[in-house]
Amino acid sequence: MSKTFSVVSHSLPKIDALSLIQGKPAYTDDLAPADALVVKLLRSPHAFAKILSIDKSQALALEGVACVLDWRDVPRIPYTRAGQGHPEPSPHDRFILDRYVRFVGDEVAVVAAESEAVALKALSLIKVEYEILEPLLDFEAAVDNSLVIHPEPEIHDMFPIGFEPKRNIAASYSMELGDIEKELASSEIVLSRSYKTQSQAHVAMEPHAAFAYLDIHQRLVIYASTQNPFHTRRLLGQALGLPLSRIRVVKPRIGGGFGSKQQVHVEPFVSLVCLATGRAARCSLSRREVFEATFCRHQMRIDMRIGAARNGKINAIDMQVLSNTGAYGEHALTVFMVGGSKTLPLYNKVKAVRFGGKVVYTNTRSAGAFRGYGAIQGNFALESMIDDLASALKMDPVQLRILNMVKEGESSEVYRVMGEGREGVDMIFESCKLDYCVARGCELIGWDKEPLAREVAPGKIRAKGMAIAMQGSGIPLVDMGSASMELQDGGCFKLRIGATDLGTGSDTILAQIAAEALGVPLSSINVYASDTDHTPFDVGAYASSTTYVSGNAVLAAAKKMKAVLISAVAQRHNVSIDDVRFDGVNFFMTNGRFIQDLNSLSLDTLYHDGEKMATLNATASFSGQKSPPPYVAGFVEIELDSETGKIDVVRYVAVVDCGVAINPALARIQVEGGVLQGIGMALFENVKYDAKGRLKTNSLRSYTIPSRKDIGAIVVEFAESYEPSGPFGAKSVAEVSIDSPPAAIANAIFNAAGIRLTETPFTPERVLKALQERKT
Amino acid sequence: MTLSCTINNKAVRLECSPGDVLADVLRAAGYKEVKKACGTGNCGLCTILMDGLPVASCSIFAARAQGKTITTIQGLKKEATELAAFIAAEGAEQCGYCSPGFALMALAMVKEFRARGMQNFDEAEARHYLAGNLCRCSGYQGQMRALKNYWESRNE
Amino acid sequence: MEISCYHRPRSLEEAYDLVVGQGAYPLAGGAWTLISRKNLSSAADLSDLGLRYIKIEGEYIALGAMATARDLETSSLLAEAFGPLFSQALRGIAGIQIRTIVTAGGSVAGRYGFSELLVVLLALDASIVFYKDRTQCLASYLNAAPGAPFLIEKIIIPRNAKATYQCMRQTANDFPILSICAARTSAGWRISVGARPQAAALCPQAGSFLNSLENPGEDGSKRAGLIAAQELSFGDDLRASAEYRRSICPVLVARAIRELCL
Ligand SMILES: Cc1cc2nc3c(=O)[nH]c(=O)nc-3n(C[C@H](O)[C@H](O)[C@H](O)COP(=O)(O)OP(=O)(O)OC[C@H]3O[C@@H](n4cnc5c(N)ncnc54)[C@H](O)[C@@H]3O)c2cc1C
Ligand code: FES
Ligand code: FES
Repeated sequence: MSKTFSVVSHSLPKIDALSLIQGKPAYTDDLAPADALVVKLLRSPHAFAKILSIDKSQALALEGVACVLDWRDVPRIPYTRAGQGHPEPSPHDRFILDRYVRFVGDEVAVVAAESEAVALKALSLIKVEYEILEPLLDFEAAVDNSLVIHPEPEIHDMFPIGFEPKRNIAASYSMELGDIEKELASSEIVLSRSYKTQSQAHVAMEPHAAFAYLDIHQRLVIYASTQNPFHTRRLLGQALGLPLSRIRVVKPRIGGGFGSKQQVHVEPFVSLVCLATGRAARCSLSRREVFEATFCRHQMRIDMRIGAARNGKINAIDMQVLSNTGAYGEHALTVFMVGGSKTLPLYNKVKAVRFGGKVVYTNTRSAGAFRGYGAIQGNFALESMIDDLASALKMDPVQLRILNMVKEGESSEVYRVMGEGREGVDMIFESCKLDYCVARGCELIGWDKEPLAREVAPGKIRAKGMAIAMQGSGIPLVDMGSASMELQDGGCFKLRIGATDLGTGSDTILAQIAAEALGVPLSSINVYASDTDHTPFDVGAYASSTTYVSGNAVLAAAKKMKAVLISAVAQRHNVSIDDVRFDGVNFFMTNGRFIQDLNSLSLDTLYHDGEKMATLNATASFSGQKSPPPYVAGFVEIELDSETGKIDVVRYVAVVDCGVAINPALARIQVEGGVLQGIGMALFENVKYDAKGRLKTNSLRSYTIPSRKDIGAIVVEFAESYEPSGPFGAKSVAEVSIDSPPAAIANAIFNAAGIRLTETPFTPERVLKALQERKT
Repeated sequence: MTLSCTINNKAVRLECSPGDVLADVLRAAGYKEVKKACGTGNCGLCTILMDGLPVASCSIFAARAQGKTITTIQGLKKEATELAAFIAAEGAEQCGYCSPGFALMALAMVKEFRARGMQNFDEAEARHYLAGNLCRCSGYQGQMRALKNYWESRNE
Repeated sequence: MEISCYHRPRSLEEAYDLVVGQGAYPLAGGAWTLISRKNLSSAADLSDLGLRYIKIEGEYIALGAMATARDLETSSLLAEAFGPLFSQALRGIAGIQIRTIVTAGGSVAGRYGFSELLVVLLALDASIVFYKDRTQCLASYLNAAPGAPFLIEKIIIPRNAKATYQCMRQTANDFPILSICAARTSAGWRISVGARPQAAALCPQAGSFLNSLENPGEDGSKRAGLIAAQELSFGDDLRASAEYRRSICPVLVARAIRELCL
């Protein structure tokens, strides 16, 4: 099974690394034309209001203001900002600008001016009269509330998703396998508990940015910090009522996404201005706008029930979810479903499993895609519950998991029934090294070496905890990627891919896959990516799809390319293709006779072959039949200060089965970063609104993400694993890494002090409160 | 007002208003390596050296630059290229957006540590020195490995 | 933000005239001013007044108003006099790139609730020297309502005290949830508590209780902590509730005292 590779599975530096580190202009805002109009957005100060009037006259009179647009100036076409497949599983429940504003930060008007200062001044001169409506802020009170957030008649879903806006329900779903009530009733031990997770913010370091201009063909060209240029183009076409042939979307380097750039946030506005004025227009959000008016993780309440036999065999799991989608329903159904579909298969031997719930509207900022995408929320609930069960059974939590968890060669009914917004696929888990991951994690953390909790100083308790997690690798039968290759003079290859490198290094690893398949060095592959005019289609970077889906497309294109080369050589030399071999530089006959080298082939086919001259190229696409899950076993050692409730993470161990890591160094960084983001959600990243629905944690001063002093060691290892359906054995690594920390840390806190924290983040205050309640 | 200062060893004059923020003035003048992610002094992406000391250029008035010597990562070509190779070897620039500010701060740190006579790389001290440089992608571990390797390569 | 009229005075006298005489806004590091984004009609930049120093003046150490947090953190003079106190207290303020900007004068003038520096200075019984020739002890300054415009020249700290610092923060760079300084001065114990979230305040009862003991020991430290928590008021903010602050106040006070008695 272990294979030797020459390019793949090597930790090569990213092809754009040196330029980025030295700060070469590469990101959207770095590249915006200097004479572009500066676009600023007037945002609602109210959580829910009707706009009675807008007076733009003073703003328009200001010198240097090019235009001021409001809801009266835009087409009234309902759309969704979510970049997903077509038809979108997200309801079309918003307009570019609307007469109603539904959260603090919702866009009211668009200003474009010659400079930032003038644009800001103009914003302050727009007079808006609002009829302030009572906001609905508590997601647990949303269903059938007398306040209705979306009464407008035009909005609709694209296919049935349980959309009932009159009841404030954006989506709902339920499924049951086996008879849950019967299995629970006959279980010797039944536990139930409710969990809550906060609406974590992505905090990609580059704020959302875009600029637009009309090219010489009067087509609208948009450069954007987006994770999915092709979806962006489609969404803009929908929202602006423009034929797609008139739109080109380009993604330059982007400064982090994590799901935040899987939606369009500024693209519609720069496009509007550009179309209205004929001028180039740029917009880059402030950090405050990013916090208040782009998306966040779906806040959830998850009600769990679990039933097991005394011997530890889990009989039944019931997971009921209430998810807060905020003012609009982007990713409402799909994130919520992943909460079950990417967690419940971990325990695939249960006799009954039930999943269901609702996704509700509130007058808070919208939720959207975020790394982990429901799985982290579901994982926190499920994996906390498993430890609860272990404690009730007086069993070691690791042993309980080993007894019940998914193994290689098995399948899961849940995976078959539940996909993302649709049915799933029936598949065998051909690569699953979860057992190894757990065993190795135990070794690395010293699980059996010393007790799970010990006092290291008065009041300071060191304790360990763990959780397992899974994710997917793309959305089967939905996600599609393509690649196209061409031999260029000089013997190098052009690799064009629609895939979207978010900084994850996918341009590099996809080039590695192509180089490996062709047997050429990485330096022979020139990558051009993410441009709807110049690269083949790809859904974009989300759902952990790039390595698996786009990677398979690149692999297929490179294999075809090789076949094309060989057939060209065979034809030129009048030999059978079966007799030609290529070693990356030279072509030989099977008997070892040298035919010609790649460089000369490129020159011959492009310059010398007379009427037979032709470019040698190959294009391929891939759409997954399955979505092989990557797995992780996360182990944590914490130190609890039992007098203050402060938790320090001393060490986090993540042992990962992502199949073959195409670039181990980059995969490691992905895991380290994902783990820390998960720790951020578990410990630090508190979200607070005031009573009027204004987000109080709206800057990096008030919303605290972990610094390098807030974490001890993060130890990452990879299981030796090979996924037969993946490119060179790869699965995915981007999302699974974030999933385990909340539960693992909660479990460590339980082991430390016997308290069960059921709501993230575990702030010192919450921990101390639980400690005090335990005492009384 | 017009500022005269030295940026990356070049005397320059920059037009600005007294209320302007230095980071914005630098970016507008083409120094795109100065990134801005928070605007509140919390992330360190906008770090520059002013008379050799690291400052957050989003949290200082441009007027303060009058007569000063300013260095961005582009002004430290040689050291920056060397350090960059170590960062790249770890893949510790993920999206790379935080990297210019981080690399500049790290070089300032190395200089200061050397001046203090530090021999062995003290990771805890380094984490402390760099605590104001946030990174949302990498989890910091790769950055720290890169720095240690860079430090040790200088010792040889 | 906009500054309509930007001045760069060259002497204290000139600055005094602008600030106290004409009501110009004194601009020190400017970091906080930038965050609060007020538009200013007139500002006096204090950079060129020679106020960036830390020096010994007789029985005192004097901190020039423009000494930066980083200056204080790394000062060998302060380290000799007070051990790691200033370094420990100030290293939590954002990153070095901010500590290189923000000033002692700005922190004191702003009376910020979160200020670590105020907590430490209060415990050490520091005084503020206003230009020209008016000295006020920090405790009475913090109690008085902000009044007419003033210009801080320096802060003076008696040199004979010993003190320790404790704080609780969410993340290493965040504002403190609570910060404590316990000092032994020639006039006895002084315990100060900041980020309540209101500005630093002294705990006179805890102080006199400690003064009544030969050696506080484990029990005395704890008792003093409880007394301190009782005599102070606490409030809610983003970072924590009043109850939480009240619960950890005794813990941190006791730790600071214990550390000082080591
Ligand atoms: C990201 C960030 C994080 C921070 N974290 C912390 C923290 O954790 N703990 C903490 O204690 N502080 C923190 N601070 C605040 C910092 O320590 C300073 O207190 C603050 O920035 C004020 O200092 P400055 O020099 O910037 O003052 P400025 O903004 O220049 O001035 C502040 C106020 O003081 C007045 N003033 C300044 N100097 C004088 C003078 N000589 N005479 C009279 N009036 C004067 C000004 O007019 C103004 O009203 C933080 C600041 C930032 C930007
Ligand atoms: S942008 Fe300056 S510190 Fe974040
Ligand atoms: S690499 Fe993306 S923020 Fe650091």
